[in-house]
Amino acid sequence: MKFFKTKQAPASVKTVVDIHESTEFADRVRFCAERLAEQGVGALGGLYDATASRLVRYASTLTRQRDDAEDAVQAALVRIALRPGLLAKARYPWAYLLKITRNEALNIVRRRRPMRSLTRPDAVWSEAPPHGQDEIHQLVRLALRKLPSTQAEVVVLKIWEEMTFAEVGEILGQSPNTAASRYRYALQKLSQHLQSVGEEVRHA
Amino acid sequence: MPKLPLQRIEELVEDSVFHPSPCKLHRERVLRSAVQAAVHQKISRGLIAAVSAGVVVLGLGIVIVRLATSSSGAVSETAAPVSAAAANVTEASATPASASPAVPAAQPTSAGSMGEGLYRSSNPPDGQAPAPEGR
Repeated sequence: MKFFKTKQAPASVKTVVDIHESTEFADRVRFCAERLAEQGVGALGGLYDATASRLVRYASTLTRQRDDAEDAVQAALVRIALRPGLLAKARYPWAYLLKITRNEALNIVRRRRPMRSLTRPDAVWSEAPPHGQDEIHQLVRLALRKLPSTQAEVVVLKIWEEMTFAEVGEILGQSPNTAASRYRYALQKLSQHLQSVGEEVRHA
Repeated sequence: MPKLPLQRIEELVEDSVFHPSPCKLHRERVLRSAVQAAVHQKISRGLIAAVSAGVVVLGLGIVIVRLATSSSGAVSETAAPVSAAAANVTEASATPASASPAVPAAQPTSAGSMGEGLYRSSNPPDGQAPAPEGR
């Protein structure tokens, strides 16, 4: 019920379903997918180099473990290598690849949950950014990590992957409006969390 | 403390993007396992094709053999009354005529269909009454 009681978002936040705009990265993924379909497994390296970092980042949103995220990416790319035509023919190859990675990550989470509850989460999201150390960014990543994975993945897809709500909805198997609602709700939670953290820092 | 506007949150999240580099061996591992999976797929597809081709050939062979045996069986069935009649003729010529005058099998029959044989056995030519049917 709390979900429906959220305040109306300001106009600045994009909550409408926007039209897909092909980004440079998406075009690159499409090119790699077509080359993979033409040349076979030998061309998988190009797709890996283009997408592995982002795929691991997205998968770690769901798995919360770096090695699990890497396993999910490996399983997804192997599946793509076996049937490269599916990726090449997909409407949005990058979204399709993310969807396959998501499925693999969820499978891994389901399979390994009892074991992982005994281990502590690793620090894939608290890695230092390559360009300078920033405490606020670290706090934002930690706050994002504390969100439920269903909300965190929407934020990651929308902001870090620069996807539209239509694409996010396609990946998550939801309507674009549901994705937009989750996004808005996640941002509100992030705002609350960062505010409380800021107050703690101020008191300290 | 004023609440952070959502647009500011979006900007913060956007700025805090990070690019994890997968471990060095991950690339090799992914490529190796993909190649292995592709090879396994090819082998399994080849095996499936070979097995299905074998099953088709075996089925065709069975059908051909059955057709051949059924046609040869039909030929032997048509030939069987002829040989039986010929055997009866030889037997009748070997035994004396007083031995059994009412034996219908002693009559020489020309080669004919099985229906003709049945007709002759039910209608003896010497004016004898046909065998009573049923009760």
